[in-house]
Amino acid sequence: MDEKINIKELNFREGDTGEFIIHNLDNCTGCGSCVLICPANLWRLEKGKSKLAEDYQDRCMECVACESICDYNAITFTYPRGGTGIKYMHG
Amino acid sequence: MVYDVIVVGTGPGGSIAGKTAAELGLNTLMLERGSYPGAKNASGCALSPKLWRDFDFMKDLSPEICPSMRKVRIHTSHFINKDLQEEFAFSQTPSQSLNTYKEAKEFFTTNLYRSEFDPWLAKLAVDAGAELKTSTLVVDLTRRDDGKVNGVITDSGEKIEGKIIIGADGAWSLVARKAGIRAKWQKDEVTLVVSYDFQCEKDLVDEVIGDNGIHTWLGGGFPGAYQFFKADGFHLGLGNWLSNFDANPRSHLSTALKIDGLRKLIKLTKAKPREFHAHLLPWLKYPGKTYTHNVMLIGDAAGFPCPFEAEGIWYAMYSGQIAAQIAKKAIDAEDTSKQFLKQYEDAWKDSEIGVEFEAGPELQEFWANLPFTPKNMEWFATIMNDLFGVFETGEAHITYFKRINELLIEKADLLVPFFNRYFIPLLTKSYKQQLGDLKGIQSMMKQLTKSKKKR
Repeated sequence: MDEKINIKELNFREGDTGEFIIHNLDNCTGCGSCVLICPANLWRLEKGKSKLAEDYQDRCMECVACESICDYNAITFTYPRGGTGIKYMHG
Repeated sequence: MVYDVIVVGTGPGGSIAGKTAAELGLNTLMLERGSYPGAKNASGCALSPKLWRDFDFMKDLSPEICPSMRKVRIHTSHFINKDLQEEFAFSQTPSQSLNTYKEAKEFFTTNLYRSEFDPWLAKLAVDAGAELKTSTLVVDLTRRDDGKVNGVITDSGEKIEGKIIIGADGAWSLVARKAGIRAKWQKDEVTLVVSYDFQCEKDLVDEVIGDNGIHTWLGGGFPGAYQFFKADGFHLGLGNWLSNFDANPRSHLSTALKIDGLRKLIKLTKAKPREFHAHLLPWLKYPGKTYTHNVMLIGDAAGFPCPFEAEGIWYAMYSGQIAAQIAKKAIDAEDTSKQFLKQYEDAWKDSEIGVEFEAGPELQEFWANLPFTPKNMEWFATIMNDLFGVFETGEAHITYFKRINELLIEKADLLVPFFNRYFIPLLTKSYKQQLGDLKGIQSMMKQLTKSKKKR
């Protein structure tokens, strides 16, 4: 069942979100917590630091788990502008 | 223009705060970052009977308003072994002896979609006279010269002044942080919940599932999963504290989807994945600070989801109502200082929210150490199954009785510490005293341990 689930097809989105996640590379230790926790797999490790997917605005679930789990204040999350971003039709 | 109350967020808590404030004659503004109330909200969404007990308008909720409603009378818990096979299961229905009012005797929960429920509640607030602005993200709070909060700034740069700000903005809560009430949650205070919504054929859900609309799947190497059936679909979700995840949350959902029994239900209801959700959910032993000068926090923002099962909606609505009532008192008294708003904390502590948290640490630890700790669930599920072994037919029944006793003695090293650590504190707390009976059970268990050592 799960093999067939592509989450990108399972989310509705609207509008131009603007930038809403800032990754502070100086603070990042490459611990990998954000990589482990992100349900949309937006983070990966590259050269000892985590790296945010370039198309994160089209894939982020806005759960803020990345910022919440980061021990080093390396992630700032500000939310998409009002009326944009993910829209739950069956939440 | 200065509003009496600005409510940030229109989940169920925000809307009830807005509705109550408006009904009390306060000039009330509600702000919502989604394009409509509920657009950003996801939860298991199984409403408890408490909503019908405490909010009169709930009697008007019907399938015409919420087509996704499904009343659940039977809740089945499935215990899964590490091969994802069902090892033990039990079903329960609302107790006719323990429950004290009609709805609690009638249904366990009523399941529905937030995308139908949240807009309905927001409309009740608007009908009561509250103003609603959607597609409006609050990005900061404004402060007077003396440093006290006196309004919000939205993402369009607009400054809106309010005498009281009610933070109903969920787990993350910008209001809580910017008002300096708390920093972000510790990793053992907040869970991440991921869920799939599946679409099913409604007739098949009626036929196959009926009022057996809650299935929980425990064990199997993943933190306990819930399956809440709505009229034409279900949520399959699971969560854990941020500090406890050892693998990506979605990979645990993938594991759950391999359970034989769950796959059968998917097949029988012709279920297909329709949506994916991820949300933070505070799950605390006890809420922290919930107010400061001119600001009160309600619902998830305050950390109110119940310590045992993290039910959140009733707690949000009830605290929203209390906060609006205190706001009315404060505005009438022309005193919105934190000294005055302490009444809010006193009121929720005095309410059933406070009662629920009387044994907060014990309830939370019990849950954390059973369903959310798969390695404990493994032996727990097996022992539960073994206890029912008297119904087996492979040998004489008395042989099974004897073996169950022997097994309990054999497992005493595992059972006694677990029992003492998680069950005794809970029982002690609920009776507010050490009971002789409990000591009796403890000494019986100790006796069993001793007899094992002798053997």
